[in-house]
Amino acid sequence: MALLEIRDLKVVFTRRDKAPVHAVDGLNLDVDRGQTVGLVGESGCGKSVTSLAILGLLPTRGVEVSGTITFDGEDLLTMSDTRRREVRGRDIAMIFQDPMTSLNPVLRVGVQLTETLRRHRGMSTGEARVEAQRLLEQVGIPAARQRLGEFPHQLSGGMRQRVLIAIALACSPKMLIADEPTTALDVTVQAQILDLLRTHVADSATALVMITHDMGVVAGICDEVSVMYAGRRIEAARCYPLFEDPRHWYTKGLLASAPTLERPRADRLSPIPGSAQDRIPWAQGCAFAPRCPAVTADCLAGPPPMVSVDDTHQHRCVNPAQPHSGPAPADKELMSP
Amino acid sequence: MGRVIARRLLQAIPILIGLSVLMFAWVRALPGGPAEALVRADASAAEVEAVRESLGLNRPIWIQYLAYLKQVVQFDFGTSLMSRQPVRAEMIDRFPASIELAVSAMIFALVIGVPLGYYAARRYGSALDHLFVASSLIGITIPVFFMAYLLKFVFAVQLGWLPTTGRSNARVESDHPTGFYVLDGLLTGNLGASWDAIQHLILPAIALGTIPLAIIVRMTRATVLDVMNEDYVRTAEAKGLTKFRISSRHVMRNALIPLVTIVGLQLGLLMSGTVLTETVFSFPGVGSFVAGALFARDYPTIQGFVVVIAVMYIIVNLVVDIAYAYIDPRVRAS
Amino acid sequence: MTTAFTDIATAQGLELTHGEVEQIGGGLWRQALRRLAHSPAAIVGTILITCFVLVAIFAPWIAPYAPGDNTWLSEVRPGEYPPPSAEHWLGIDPQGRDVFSRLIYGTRQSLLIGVVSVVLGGLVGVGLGLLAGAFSGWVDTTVMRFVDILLSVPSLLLAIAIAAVLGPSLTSVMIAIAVTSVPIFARLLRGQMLGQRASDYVLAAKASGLRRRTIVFGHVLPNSMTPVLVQGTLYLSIAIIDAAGLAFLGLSSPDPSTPEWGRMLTDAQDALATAPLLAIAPGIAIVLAALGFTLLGEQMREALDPKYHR
Repeated sequence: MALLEIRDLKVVFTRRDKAPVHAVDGLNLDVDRGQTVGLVGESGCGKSVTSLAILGLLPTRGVEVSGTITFDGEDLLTMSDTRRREVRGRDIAMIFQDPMTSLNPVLRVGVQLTETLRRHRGMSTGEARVEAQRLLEQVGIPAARQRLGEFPHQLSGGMRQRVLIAIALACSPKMLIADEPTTALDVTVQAQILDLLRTHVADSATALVMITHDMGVVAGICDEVSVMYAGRRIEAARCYPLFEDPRHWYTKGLLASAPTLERPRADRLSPIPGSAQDRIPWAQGCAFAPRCPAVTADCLAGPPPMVSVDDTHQHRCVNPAQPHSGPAPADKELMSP
Repeated sequence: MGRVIARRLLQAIPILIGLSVLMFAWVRALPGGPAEALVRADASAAEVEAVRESLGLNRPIWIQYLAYLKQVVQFDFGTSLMSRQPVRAEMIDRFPASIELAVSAMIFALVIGVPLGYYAARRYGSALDHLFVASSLIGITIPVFFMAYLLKFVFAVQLGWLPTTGRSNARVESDHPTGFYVLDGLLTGNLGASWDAIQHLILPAIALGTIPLAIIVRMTRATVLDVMNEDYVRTAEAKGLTKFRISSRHVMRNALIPLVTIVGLQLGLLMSGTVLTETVFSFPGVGSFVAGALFARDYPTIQGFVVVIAVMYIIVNLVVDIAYAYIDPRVRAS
Repeated sequence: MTTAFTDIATAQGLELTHGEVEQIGGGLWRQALRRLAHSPAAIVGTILITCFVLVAIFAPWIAPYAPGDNTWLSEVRPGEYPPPSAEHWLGIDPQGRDVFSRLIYGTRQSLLIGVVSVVLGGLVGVGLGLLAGAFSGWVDTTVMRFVDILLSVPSLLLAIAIAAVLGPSLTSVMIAIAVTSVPIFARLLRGQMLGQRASDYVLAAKASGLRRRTIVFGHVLPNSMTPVLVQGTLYLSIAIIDAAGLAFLGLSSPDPSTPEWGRMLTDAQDALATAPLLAIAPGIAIVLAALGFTLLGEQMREALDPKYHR
């Protein structure tokens, strides 16, 4: 049994006087112990909402959550608030996107780090301080002892993200969710942070869910990748096959829109036309159909099922791209939503 | 930290100088001129001339200003026309009562206002939230003296629960080493006297504290709503901290920062508000004394009150600025 | 918890539909008016203000008696006041005058004091703010120091001090309240103008060689005035409350027959135990008038501020 099993997860934002928004729409996802899984997609595809749903951090008003999220044998969605607060931070930890705003500006770094240790590992203030210093050193912060007494505004962005990683790793969680952990950082710092995460995951038995829109990050760190579109997984594979042989036209588009060194610079990048808002409900057919270069009548005949290419590669496309079939036909007219 | 205090003190100097010039101009503008303002209304021309001479009003204006500054620094405002006592003595007698009242009003506003504002924010959009928002709006628009009337009518006159006037019951024996009656009772071990003083404080303090209460409820609600949406609160939630720890350490610690400014600003308003409240409750503080002075055109007293309150207001805001720097590390560093 | 809800909502495309986007082109004020028309609080505020204005205008027709008419003095004995009756809806005050008539005429006084003092204070404050905002350097520093000094005195105390210097009269109350509002308007306008001056369209105007006068009066000032108007509306409520306070302290008109809400409360002081209505009626009038302007002002601020409507 996998460490994390998400089955038919649905998150609906309801608003007064307006149509509800299906942020996550029937998501299935497995994460094994120690595994690093990438969750990829454009902004608005539901990947961040999924991570918040796992931690139970979605607002209670105006949000409906259904399905099951089983973590280590327990359903996270139905457990009590008290129990969830025990699991959070101890068994599942999370790193957020913006290190500049994710640390409390009026509390010292030491306080923010030790409060987790005291809460989940039952340490005394003194023990927690020693451990906190060790953790800061572990994530590569020089003069760790001194840093404990400083406030977040005294640290650089990269340092703050290291502190947040130290906080997340403090209780050796079974699973770590990183939501775009490098997006807000300088490119050089990005590489350091990714490296730090990779080393830690390799050294421990921690599973890592890496949420990102950056295919480069995925390539650098993930064992498996799930691509999300309109709240659903549309393709899942091991890292290498997905890059080599994407089947879903959305995945293909995502890969084609990212620059690579191998491609001659004269080649134009091919962005996916339209935006994530040009979509149809899954019940009516493939949500990507309005933007898809290879759309057929079958695409609108109902929700496309998950199709297996092999044991580790599945996709949700009725007219899949063939292996190495070249770029999508560009002259194809776009359907209006 | 020391640098922050030094800088704030330096910034206060031009304001204090400017204020003293304004005060000087104000005293000279008082009806009848400064000499007449400082003597009895029925004084003869010779008496006025004598006062002019003694005040040095025939000297150059900047010397007069310096002389005035010297007086102000010594809190020498002349003799009250109503009581024929030095204004300074009258003020010293009455200030403890007013400070006790203003501080009680602030404590009332804080102790009730912060939890209500916090609760409203947590229940954002609920019926109770709407109720709190609506009542705080009315709280802001109720004149202090009308609130005092209402409280006095309902709780003192109709229900008879609390005394209608004064600071203490003449039948309760008490000594007053400090002039703060509640404190005096505690210091002399006379708890009955403390309780008596508290009973006399309740209604005036609520009347005076209503506007700060309403402002604090609105302010707390707004800042807590802001802070609850901050990323660092989400981080705290993700750490699995208890609800209590998150609200006390992560939310309130940040929400309190703007509150400190409000408390400072309101304390100044409370001191001037005592003029209205004390009048309704015949509370023997500076406020009711000055209200009497306004009716009697007792300018030395009015002058003394304005100067003392203005100086107190500046000091309070200075303290607030320093407290601000202490609470918010970002200010401390800059 | 509402943690990060807005972030998610934005990411989920909850932002703006195409219809909403088109509305934004419709001009700030027209849009604000549309919002105000849908806000219950703004409607209540407007109704309250309209009622008081109508009462003030038609006071002689509404009030059954003249405000200073003390015909009924013989019916009043200390501690004994006739209860409300068909002839005197709110009873008779200790000076033998009809309370209802005084309340109606008092509306005129309150609105007059409020409007005159806010307009006066607003004009001076805007003038000072304009000076500070248009010129940087010593003009700005001097003006703002002066504003700081005025702000360093609690406003009620400042009003008392000024009214005491000028002697008790209606004019001195108006001037006193106007002066307390000056620093608020000046600081607000200056802040707005500084913000506008740093904005791109002013840079563009400068780059295209427009003269300073044209930029200040043609671009910066009009765009900075909106918050000033909102503040003016809000300050009307403060002016009405403070005017009542000054009247309560005997700093207003020396003529005791002048109908003023604050003074009516003073007059009712000794009658509180036996005839509470004498104090409650003018008190409620003050609250409702102040509430009207506060409600409208706050809703205007929200309607005009893009921060509030996402």
